[in-house]
Amino acid sequence: MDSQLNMIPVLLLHGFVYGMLIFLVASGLTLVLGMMDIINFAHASIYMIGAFLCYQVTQWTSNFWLALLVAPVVCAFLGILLERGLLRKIHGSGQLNELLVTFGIAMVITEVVSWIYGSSPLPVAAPVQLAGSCQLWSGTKYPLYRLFILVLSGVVLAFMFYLLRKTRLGISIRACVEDGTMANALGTNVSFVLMAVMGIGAWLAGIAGVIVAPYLSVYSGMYNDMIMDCFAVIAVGGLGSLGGALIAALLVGQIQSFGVAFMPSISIAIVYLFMVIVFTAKPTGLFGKKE
Amino acid sequence: MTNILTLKGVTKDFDRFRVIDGVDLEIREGERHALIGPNGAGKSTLFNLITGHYVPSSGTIHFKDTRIDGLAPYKITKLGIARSFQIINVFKELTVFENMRNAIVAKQGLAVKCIRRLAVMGQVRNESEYMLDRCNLAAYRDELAGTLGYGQQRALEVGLAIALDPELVLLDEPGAGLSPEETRMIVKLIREVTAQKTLVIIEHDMDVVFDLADRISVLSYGVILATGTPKEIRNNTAVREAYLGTLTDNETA
Amino acid sequence: MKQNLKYASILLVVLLAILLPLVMSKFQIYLVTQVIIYSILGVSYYLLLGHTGLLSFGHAAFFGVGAYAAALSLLHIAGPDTPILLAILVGALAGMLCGLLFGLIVLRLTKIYLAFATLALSQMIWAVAWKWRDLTGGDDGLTGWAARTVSMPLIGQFALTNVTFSYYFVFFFAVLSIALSWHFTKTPLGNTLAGIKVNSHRMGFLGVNVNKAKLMVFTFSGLIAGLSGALFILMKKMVSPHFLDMSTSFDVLIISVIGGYASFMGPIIGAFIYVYLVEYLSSFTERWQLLVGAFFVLLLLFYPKGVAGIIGNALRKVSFVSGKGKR
Repeated sequence: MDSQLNMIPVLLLHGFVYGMLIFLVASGLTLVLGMMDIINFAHASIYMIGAFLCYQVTQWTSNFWLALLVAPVVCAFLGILLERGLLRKIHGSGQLNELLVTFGIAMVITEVVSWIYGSSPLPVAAPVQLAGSCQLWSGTKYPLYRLFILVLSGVVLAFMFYLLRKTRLGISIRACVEDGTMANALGTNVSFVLMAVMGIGAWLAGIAGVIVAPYLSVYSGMYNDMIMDCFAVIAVGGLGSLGGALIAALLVGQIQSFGVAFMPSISIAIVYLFMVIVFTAKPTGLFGKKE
Repeated sequence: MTNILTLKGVTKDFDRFRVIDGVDLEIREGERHALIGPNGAGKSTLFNLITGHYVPSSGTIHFKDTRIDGLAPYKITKLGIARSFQIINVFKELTVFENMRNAIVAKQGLAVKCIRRLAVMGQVRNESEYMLDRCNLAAYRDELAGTLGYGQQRALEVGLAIALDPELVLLDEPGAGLSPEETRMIVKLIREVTAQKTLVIIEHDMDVVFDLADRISVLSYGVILATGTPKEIRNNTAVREAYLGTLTDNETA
Repeated sequence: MKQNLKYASILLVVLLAILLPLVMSKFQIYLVTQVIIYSILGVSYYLLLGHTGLLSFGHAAFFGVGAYAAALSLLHIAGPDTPILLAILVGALAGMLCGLLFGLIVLRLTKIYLAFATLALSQMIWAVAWKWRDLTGGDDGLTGWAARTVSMPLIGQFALTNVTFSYYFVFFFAVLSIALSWHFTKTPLGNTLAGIKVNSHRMGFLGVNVNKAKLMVFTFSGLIAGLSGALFILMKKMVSPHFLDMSTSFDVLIISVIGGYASFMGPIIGAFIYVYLVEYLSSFTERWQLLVGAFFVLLLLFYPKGVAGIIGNALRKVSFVSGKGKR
């Protein structure tokens, strides 16, 4: 009984850790969705690519920090490449087509990755500085690496907050998400803003991929697991709403964490049930734009 | 003289912004009533409230003896109120005939029938073609509605509302963007098809308003400034200040 | 003239289909049977997506629920004496109820939210099938009717393992369900749904109960999909949670897109192409999924209307050249 109660703060921490990871990936997705009404299925593929890049870099150099530096940048480039090369081309032919193309690309990327690396999980060691656990309070230890994830996500979150609230680019982004046509009419270079959003979003997804590697290891099923959680988060939070995505991500993280601990037999279904409940109460998500 | 539409104390708030601020309005059965006022006064919002697209924040709306505020748009339409839209809202990817047929199918209560094929229902085809004729759109029967000239799209926009054979017709700026000739034609159409009906029309074209209307209501900042005959409205100082501007000698009654 | 051409070609196809088993190997007949079942499923999906514009990511639910319902009725209603036709009926009805349920829940949702909600609902059902071992056999699924026979009035008994019989049996139901679906699109309801796809907002203001129409198409789509699920388990002699999986929902989407998701014939063409493409590719490489994915992307980039669109363009050119085309 005592250990059950003791578990709760730990489970809360687990929930936050996982929630923040989902948020890092979902944030880029929801912004692009809010701006262009495109669901980019391939966004979670970039997350997976980030993880595999981390694996590869640590294989070559045994330096996790290098991976953390390099991989997200590569991912950012991939994101921009995706936007320029593909999404631009099909932007005219209808929303459904765009959605399906990104879905197809995601499929192809997953296949290529499992072709190169096989389908077994590949472990990545946490950097030496972050190995082991630390004492939180009497009787409770917590892996240091996971605390690192929390801290890093917190820093990234603060950076995003600053970007969106205090910089011109941030204001442009928010304007474009709110009303792209109006923003364009007022002189914002929507095309550039879109590129920036894709790039930053992909960069964030790459960071998430890198930091999740030591945590959950690297495997080709990462895409599937993440895409469902992403969808749950942006749908529940409301399309285009960053704040909504954050709250939803933390909620989903907690649901996963507590669900697995207390109700393992139905834990896979709880997130879906949660989604459906939110939808029946609020058809456009918690903070979504009303039609 | 009975009232076919009664609004009592209707307000509408969007978050903290009050768009409609306590509107009382009575539309008499069989009259042609114009709703005028500066842009942003809330005229289209009022239409949206009447037709069920919005729910009033307070107040009531009655159609004859039935309370209609809070009902779904399709239910209100079925009771006998039809509207056209300020921004053209036809089925652009369908042919003109298919557009009109959608209205006729709905009017004949066949919209969700799924036993017989639509193609064998002669009464639907006949009535659709008849309505197209009345709107002078028969020549464009098989064209996609989105490819029509603006004037024809306007006629179709109005035609779809009329095809439902409603008791109360709400037309939202049916003349918007039309040339003088096209305006003449649409006013003629409106006059013909609303002969036995009640009409409420939002318009900015004062010639159309004073030509068609039996009574006029002036809406400004969500409040009705005045209701009366065209002569009364023309001479109303408050209205002149808010909307019509000063009159020349030619225009005084 | 065009009408007669249409009827003639349909008759030709039906005739070909009837004669096919005489010239094909058992394995090939088995493959075509699979294609036909996917066609039925694809058409049921067309009713939602291509015809009404409702993007569902959870269509596997209708298929899988029909499959499980049929399987369970074969195993539990009257044991080995359960009439096969009853199982098919149960499967179809189960799919129909599933469609009704989904429809009720997602009525007010649009576009992406609709897609996500249908995905979530379908995943929930998948989770139930996976976990409820007592009822569904869990991950192992259910089997046990492989040795059964179908009694056809006047003709006699046929084993389910009789590939040729299964083919004709499935083909019969395909003709029935596809014809029914075609008829559905030609009714006033079908017309209303097509209007909802174009402008559901105005439809409401014409006095149409849009929600009721949507509910009806979800229900009917579920019926046809459930039927295809029931037929599938008869053919495969087993049922597993994979039938309810997200990937099955996306398979239906892929089939629709390859054939052309906005046309009635699209999913039928798509089913043929997909099954044979997968069969062909998997025979010489393990990486067939990669090739199918690449094919899918290229098709979307260059021929978004799918193969039906390519055929349609070709036909239009022909009729234009021969002077019969209009616009």
